[in-house]
Amino acid sequence: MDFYLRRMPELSGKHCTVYSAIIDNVSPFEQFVDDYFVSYGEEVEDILSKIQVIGRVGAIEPYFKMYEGKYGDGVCALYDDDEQRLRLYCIRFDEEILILGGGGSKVVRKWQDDPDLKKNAEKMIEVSKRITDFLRKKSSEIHWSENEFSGDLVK
Amino acid sequence: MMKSNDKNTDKLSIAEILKNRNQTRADLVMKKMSLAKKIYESILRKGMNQKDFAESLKKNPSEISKWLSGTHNFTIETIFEIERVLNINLIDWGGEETAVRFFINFKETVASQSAGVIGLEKGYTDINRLTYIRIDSARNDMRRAVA
Repeated sequence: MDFYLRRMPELSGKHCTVYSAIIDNVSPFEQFVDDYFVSYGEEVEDILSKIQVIGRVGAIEPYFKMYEGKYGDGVCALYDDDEQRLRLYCIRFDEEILILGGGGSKVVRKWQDDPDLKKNAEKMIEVSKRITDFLRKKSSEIHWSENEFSGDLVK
Repeated sequence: MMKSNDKNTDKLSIAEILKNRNQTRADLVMKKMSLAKKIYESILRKGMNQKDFAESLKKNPSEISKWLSGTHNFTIETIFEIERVLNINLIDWGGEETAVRFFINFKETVASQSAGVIGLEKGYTDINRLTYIRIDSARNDMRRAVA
């Protein structure tokens, strides 16, 4: 699996920089928006508005459902309650960096039970693992400075 | 670009969706999330975690998670309870109410300071500690004082 991170200036703000994970040349986040905008227009608009607010005020924990992956890998979902039909996966690095992945319609309670959600969650778990390794090794692919990532895999 | 129900029409970019979205709805999202952040930060400042906060309010932790997610529609009663437990002002209750609360505190500060130095600054700080139960009588006192 190849990936890089694309900065999203239209969603980033003073307190959090927002990136879209591009996995094998596809943006799962843009795919999610394309797939669901027609059927769930208002909800997709709300999701974009929420991400934009997160950019401005920071990615505080309560805005997310934490630990959608493994404990400590930062994979989470944007908070959704029972009324919301869509789930979006992200990776959160403190309050300062948010990486958007894909998502899907919540027809099941656990992501493991839905092939689309499972695929998107697993991709984000893998991306998170690779980023964490790069950061730990201080490699040129990705490094973290203040509220931004930079490096060979950041566009 | 107009939104369409036809899946085969051109895709809308993120920037276009943001530009064409319902701005009133977007503002509501922003206000809800900002309010949630204010509550969350106040909980942390108090040295509490979400579980402590839930216990203080005799609520289920999952309810508190929803409150802090920025998706919840708060009732005035809930906001009042949160303000009371955290000793904060989430809403500028405005005009007369604010003046009344200041007046109550001002009166109490004067009464409690025998040295004759009126602690105005302390008065402002203490406004949050006041309860609304006394507002009606204080409102009458204030009206008499300014009459």
